Amino acid sequence: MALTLNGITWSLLLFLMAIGLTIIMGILRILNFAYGAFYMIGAYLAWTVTLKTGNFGLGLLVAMVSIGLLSYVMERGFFRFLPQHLDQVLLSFGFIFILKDVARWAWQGQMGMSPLPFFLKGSILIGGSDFPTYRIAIIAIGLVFALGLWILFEKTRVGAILRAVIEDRPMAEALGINTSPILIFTFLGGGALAGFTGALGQPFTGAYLGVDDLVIMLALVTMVVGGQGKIVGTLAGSVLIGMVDTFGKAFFPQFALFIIAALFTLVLFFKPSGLFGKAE
Amino acid sequence: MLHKRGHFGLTWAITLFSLLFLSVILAACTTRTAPAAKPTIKIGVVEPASSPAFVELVKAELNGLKLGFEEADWVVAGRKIELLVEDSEGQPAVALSKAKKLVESDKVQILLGSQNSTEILALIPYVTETKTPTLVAASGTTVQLATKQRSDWYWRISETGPSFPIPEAGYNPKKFGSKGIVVAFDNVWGKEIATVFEYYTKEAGGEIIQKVFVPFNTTDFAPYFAKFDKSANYVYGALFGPPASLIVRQFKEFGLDKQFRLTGGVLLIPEVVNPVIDYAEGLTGSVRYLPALDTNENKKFVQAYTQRFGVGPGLASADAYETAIAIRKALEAIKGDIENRKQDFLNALAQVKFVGPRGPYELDPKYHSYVASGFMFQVQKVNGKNQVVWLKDYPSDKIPISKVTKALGVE
Repeated sequence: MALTLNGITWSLLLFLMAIGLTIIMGILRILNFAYGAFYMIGAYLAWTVTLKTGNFGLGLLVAMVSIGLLSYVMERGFFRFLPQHLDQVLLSFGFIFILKDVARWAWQGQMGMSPLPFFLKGSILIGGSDFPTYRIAIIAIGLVFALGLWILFEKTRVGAILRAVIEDRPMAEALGINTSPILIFTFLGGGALAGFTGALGQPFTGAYLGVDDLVIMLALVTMVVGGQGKIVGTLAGSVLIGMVDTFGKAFFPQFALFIIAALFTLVLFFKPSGLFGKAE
Repeated sequence: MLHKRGHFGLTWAITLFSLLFLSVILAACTTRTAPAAKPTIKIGVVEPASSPAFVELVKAELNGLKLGFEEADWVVAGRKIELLVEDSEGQPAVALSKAKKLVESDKVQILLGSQNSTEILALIPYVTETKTPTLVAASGTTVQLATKQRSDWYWRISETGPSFPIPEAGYNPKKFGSKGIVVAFDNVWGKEIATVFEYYTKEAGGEIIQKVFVPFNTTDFAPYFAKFDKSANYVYGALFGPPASLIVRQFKEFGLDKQFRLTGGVLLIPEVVNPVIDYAEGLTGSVRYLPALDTNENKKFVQAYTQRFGVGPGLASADAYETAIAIRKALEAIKGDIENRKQDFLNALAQVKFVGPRGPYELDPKYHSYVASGFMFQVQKVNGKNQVVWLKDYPSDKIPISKVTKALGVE
């Protein structure tokens, strides 16, 4: 039981890590490798604010707003001038180096994990074992986000427009859809989501130099396995990776390094467009 | 009597010139020229400064070195000392190219590095070929450096091989019960520690009933916790960097402290335990140094370090500080003539005597390595706050390196 719950927690955290990247890639067709660095800076900001103010919620808010604005500035100031994917990737690598150096200068390489609010501390007895309350909260938040995004994309007019832009942006523009606000909102929202995930994840993963590499790798793998630009696909991909990784480590710890890579390879081999992606 | 005009001017010019010339000669004879300054001794440092697992450790090492040389105003045997630092980025190939740059372009006479054992293995052939005295100033290294990969030019002032688990291997069965689980990194470092710990646990009448090797970048230990053998009494952690802090926190969050005791000397170093100190009550372990050591030499060191850098020292700081002192004393012993007496310099490192924050300095000339003591520490509640405390009553003898080579079956 505890192992299953761990798998679900890890899956939903992966979903939160990957969904912002998926939306940006799906709508803007921009592959932003600095997404992991957004997580790292968001995590560090949340840790610092929580330590100084004792307010975990404020830390979350500061992380979301700061990274959302950073993402917006990057898109408006740099990415929109580069239509070619390779140029975008190279630019995002440049931002990774800058953000890593900023983190090194600001936080001196320290590791941070903020204390939790009193109602999220402790553990609950589930199936005879203690399970941390905070991980239950991550499950709940992840599910709410997944459901909220699904409703937004599938059941609202805004969602229909977003899906149209993802499917065929030139056609959507030809039909009179003003895509500018959508593009701005996407980058703002995607960045804010990265900051939020960093703030939420740092009591779990820690805030440290190097967590960005882990996050971008996992987010990319989840996005590719699920299918680019697909919310349901990202959720499916994150659940598949999260559960296989958790159970794989528990029963075959000697293959822990290999598990995610093996799964990624298998999916790419049999369905290169991802589980829910369309073949081009 | 009037001279002819031309003769009068020429005479005065000759007279003036002669006087000036004489003045110059006199001045030259009486002025002392300053003696030519002795050239600076350059010490090159190659460390993985930008590698996430080593960022804080390298910073601590550099601070320790600076403090050690500042005490002598950066002058030893009449020669200035200069540190030149290069980032190896955690890559053996980069470490080698930086070492070459330091030795061949910057002309360093001594090389220090690296905290990363794989980088050390890459440097050994080069420093041996070029006969460059090279020291590991901080962090434990693989025992291969004292055996299969031994070089007469690569010495360790930190520690060779995992001697620090040995006191704890004897302590845990007595205090917590005979059955233990080891959780270690799935690399050379982790496996050596697990082997040594298991060997001496058996010698003390205990038993390691499970060994779990985890990847270097592990963030979630929950899958491994789920498979812990419930009959174990304690869990011994051999990890460092962010995963080490994470296991301490997650161990408590999952309520495992009700079932097992978490132990591991390397889990107690400040960089690991400070972010998670609230979760660490009861954490016990043995290691060659921690700031909690209650000796006069260490108190003086901790005070000077904290005043100088605004933060307390850690294990890497103490290693590096004593490395700086040992280098100073060895250079004094050879009167600073490092260029012509390189081998004498290395031999002198084994002969210098002082008492540092880690205790009495002792270097084994056979294994080219510092001989560490093993102090037991524990996180206890002191005045309502968790704090690392030295368990003074437990023996803290020097641990011969032969005990490590015996356990690992190498020589």
